[in-house]
Formats: sequence, C-alpha cells, structure tokens
Amino acid sequence: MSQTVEERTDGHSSEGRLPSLTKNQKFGLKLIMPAFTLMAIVHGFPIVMGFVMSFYKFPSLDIMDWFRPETFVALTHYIDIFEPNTFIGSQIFGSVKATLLYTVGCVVGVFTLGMIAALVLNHDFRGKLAARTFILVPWIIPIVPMLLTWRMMMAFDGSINGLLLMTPFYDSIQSLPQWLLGPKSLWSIILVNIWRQFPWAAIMLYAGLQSIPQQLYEAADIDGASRWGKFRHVTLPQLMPVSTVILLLMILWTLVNFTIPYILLGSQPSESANVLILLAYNAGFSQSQYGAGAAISFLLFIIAMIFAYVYYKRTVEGEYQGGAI
Amino acid sequence: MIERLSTDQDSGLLADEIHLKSSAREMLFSLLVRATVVLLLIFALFPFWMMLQTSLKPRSEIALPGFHPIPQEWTIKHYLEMFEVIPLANYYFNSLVIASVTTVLSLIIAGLAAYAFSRYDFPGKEKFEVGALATQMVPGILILIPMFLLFTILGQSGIPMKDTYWGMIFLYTTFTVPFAIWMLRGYIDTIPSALEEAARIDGCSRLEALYRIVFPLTLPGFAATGMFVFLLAFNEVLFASVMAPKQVTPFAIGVYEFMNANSTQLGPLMAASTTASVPILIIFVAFNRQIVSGLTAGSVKQ
Repeated sequence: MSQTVEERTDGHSSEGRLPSLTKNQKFGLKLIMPAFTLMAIVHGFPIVMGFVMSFYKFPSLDIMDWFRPETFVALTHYIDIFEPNTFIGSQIFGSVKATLLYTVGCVVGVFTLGMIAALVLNHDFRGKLAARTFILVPWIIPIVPMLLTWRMMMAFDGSINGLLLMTPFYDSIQSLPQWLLGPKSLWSIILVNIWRQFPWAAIMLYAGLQSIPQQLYEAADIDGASRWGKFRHVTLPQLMPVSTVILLLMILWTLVNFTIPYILLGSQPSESANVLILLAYNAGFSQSQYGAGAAISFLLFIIAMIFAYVYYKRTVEGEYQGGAI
Repeated sequence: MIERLSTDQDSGLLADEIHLKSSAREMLFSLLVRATVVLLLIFALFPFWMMLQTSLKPRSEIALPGFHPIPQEWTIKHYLEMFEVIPLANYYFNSLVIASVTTVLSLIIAGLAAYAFSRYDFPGKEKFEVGALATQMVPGILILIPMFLLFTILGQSGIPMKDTYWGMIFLYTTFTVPFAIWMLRGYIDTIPSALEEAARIDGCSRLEALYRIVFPLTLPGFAATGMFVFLLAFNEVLFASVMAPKQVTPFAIGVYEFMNANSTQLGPLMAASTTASVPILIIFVAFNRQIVSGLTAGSVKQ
C-alpha cells in the first residue's frame, strides 16, 4: 500500500532522491508541522469538544458553566432529535426531507449541466478560450454579492418573475410564484447552487475529456459508431472515475454548504428549505441550545464522513487521484 | 468521417450523397454546439449583468417591477452614495485586512507542507494526507459551536479572540491551509526535483533550495492559489456572523445593513457588490490559465 502511494506521489523524484533519508524524513515532518498544528487546534479539538458538548445541557444564564456533573444529560439530545415536541424534533423530518431533495437536485443538476458544458467546450469553435474563461465566472466570483443579486432577482417583483410574465404560462401578477418564501424556496437554493457549482464540474469533466486517448475514438469510427454510440461507449466509461469524484464531492459540499441557503433565505427559511445545516445553526445560535446544536451537527458530520470515506476509497486508494478541495 | 467516405469511394454517387448529407448534419451539429455555449454563457453571466446594470441606473428605474435588463438612463450616483448609507469603507477595510493577511499566512504555511508532501517521505505521510482531506469534509457548524465557547473562554481569561482581526485570521488561515496544500502540491509536482538537487550540490541547504529554487518557479501557482484563499476568506459568512459581529465586521456581513432598513436600498447594495466583485474578475481573467490548470492538476491522472 505505502509502496503504491510512494510511487504515485514521488514519480519524478524517485530516481534522484536527495541524500540521507532519515534527515529528509525529519525535514519533511518539520515542514508540515505548522499546518497540522493549526488543523489540530481548529479542526481536531472542536470535533472532540463538540462531541463532548452534545452530552451536556447548557445553562441559559452562564453558558460557560456547562461542564458539570449536573448538566450531563447523556444521550438526551440525540433522543430529542426524534422527539416531536422539541425545537429540533418538531422539524427534523421536514429537514431531512429538504436536505435529501436539495442534495439530489443539486447533484443531478450540476452534473448534467457540467457535462453538457464540458462536451460543448470540447468542440472547436471561435472564441473557445473566452467561452471557457467566462463559463467559470459563477464559480470564482465572490459569492456573497452574487447571492444578494439572486435575492434581488428572485424577489416577487424581481426580474425572474418579470421574465416569467413574458411567457405564455403566466398571464397575471397574482399567478406568479414566490421564490424566496414557501414551497418554491427549495427550488431557489437548488437553482443557485447549480449556477454556482456547474462550472467546476464542467472544468473537471473537460479535463477528463481531454485525457481520453484519441485512438479510442478512431477505433470507434472504424467500427462505424454514431455520435451517440461514441458518447455512450467511449466517453462515458472513460469519464467514470472523474465523475465518481465529482458526484461524491458535490454531495459533501451540498450537505455542508451554509452560505447559499443562509444568505438566500435567511436563518429562518420556510419548512420546504429548512436544510439540516440551517437547523443546526438555529438550534445553536437563535435558540441557544448549544448541546442540541452540537448533537445535530455531529450527526451531519457522521453522514458527511460516510461519503468522505467512500470518496477516499475511490481516490487515494483507487486508481484515480482526486483533489482535496 | 474520412475513413467512412473512403470505404464508400467505389460507388461514386452514393459517396457524394453521404458527403452532402453528413456535412449538412455536421453544420447543424456545430450550430447546436454554438447555441448551447451561448445559452450556458447567458446563464452563467446573467446575475453578474443584473448586478452591474442595477448599480448603474437611477432609483426610479430600479423600483419598476418586471424584467428590465438595460437601463434607460445611466448614473454612478449609487457608487458615491453607498459609503454614506452604511460604514461600508470600514467593512471593506476589515475584509481586506483579514483576507490579505490570511492569504499570506496560508500560502507560507501551506507552501511548506505542500513541498514536504511533494518531495519527501516521512512516517505517517499518508495519514497526514487523509487528515488534510478530512478537514474539508467537516461541516463548519460542528466547529463553530465549540470554537465559539473556546473564544469566549479565552476572552474571559484576558486574550480577546472574538471580534478581533487575529481571531478571524487565525480561523481563516486554518480553514484555507488544507485546500492550499492540495492546490500548491499540484504545482510543485510539475517542477523537476533535479533543479533542487543541483542547488544542494552547489551548497544550498534544504530550506534555501526551497525558497531560492522552488518558490520562484511556482510563483504563478502561488498567485492562483492565493486568489482562491483570498476568495474563501472574503466570502466566509458562518464564522464571521458569530465571531465578528461588531468591531471587525467584514464586508460579507456588513453589506446586509443595506437590507435592514424599512426598504432594501438596492442601488447602493448592487454598487457595493459590484465594487467587491470586479477586482476579483479582473484578476481571474489575467491569471485564468494558471487557475484552470491548478484546479485540474492532480485531479486527472495522466
């Protein structure tokens, strides 16, 4: 195992390795020390502490005074998650449903649109480089100003409803939908998430397309394959590894993304869009139920870790080397 | 296509027909490709255009309901007004301080670690790699609540962390380091290690080889990575909303004040948003090659 990792990561330095291995090992460890010290403080410690906190009830008067035997509540917060008359329990099922729909909608949308974009960018046309640059704009532009713009466009008298009014499907102002309130708000966060992430999927798939050996297409041509046949039997299988990585990272990012739902819908969204991450935030910071907030964040963490584990199996241990963003 | 035609060569007329038919289909297909590109570009750029044009039209036009993509009358009034409505200059300044210092620190710390991962073997290397990867999967909310308490405890024992520049910089540096390690490593992998070996023979220490040879050669990669680190720090809202509510409020949180009044001040809001976005866009267009190759480097095995 370690052999294969070494080969993969040090492909070009292996023939002329720098002298004195043990000194090098020490030097390598020294170089990563600052980075991992920071990560231990800001990631490692809070995860452990969050886990501990999820077994305690925080006193409302002095939240600092929580680590006492009297406030230990064992699994109460985890049980309360499914207790219908608590703050979280009353919302959890709606929230899980919203999170599932949100994740599936985003992943399917991002992947489909990203694939279409990658395929068209893989053709030659004038201004291809400019198109490739500008298609990436949603992904690199500062997200907060853009979310505020989407909020403006999705307002009831905003430009999206203005556009809809020009179509034959909506004839009166009363029939127009509310995008940021009520059941449609789930669609809004899905749409904005797709807008934000599809360029990333497109550029990853585009890089994957570029690395497909041309001979495969030539062989398919000789066999008289149609355009669709080539896509179905050459392109898609060749893109499988990169697609798996994209799908897994998309699921993870969508689960833990806070910015898009929070800025678009505020911290108190309608039931249809009350995704788990907003519920955890509300439990912790608007209800001051830090223990309950920690419990639900920890559940979210476990779900994310399951996907992360699959991702890791597919990338680090598999044939395919993936990115860590 | 060419192979197909050459096999049909002997039946002359048929070949011509196929040629005509297929070239018509080719044209239709390339038309379809172009149309799709145009549609995707419209989708991608539409919000940016709406932001820009809203910031440039008078209040009376913004208030009109419906779809008005092009202003009848242009004005830069909102760009002057925006600083008067809320303390926007302070928010910009706070964001710039936090994001720039974060970028510098993160690049230094991640640059060292990326170099170690690219060039050296050491015990537990694989575990560290997985650890760095795993931090990217942790929901921020899980870190936020314990961090909030930790910062409060530190504050009570005389070390103010909440609502300070260094508190935010400390957090953001850590959040961006794993991502920066991954991206920088992709760039460092492309520099042949023979150069450092030559430098070592000429008497450079390991560290000198690093900052005299490797860092200068990967400067474009550092620039591209730095842009992403800056963006992450500039756009963070979860921690900023809890940890920086008063003294060091960054733009991403402060800009809300345009919406807190009785009615949203769309003109100044969009002007402030445009001001925050355009510099990043310019940097992106200038460095777009490095950024794109950095994103995909290491992600597609050659």
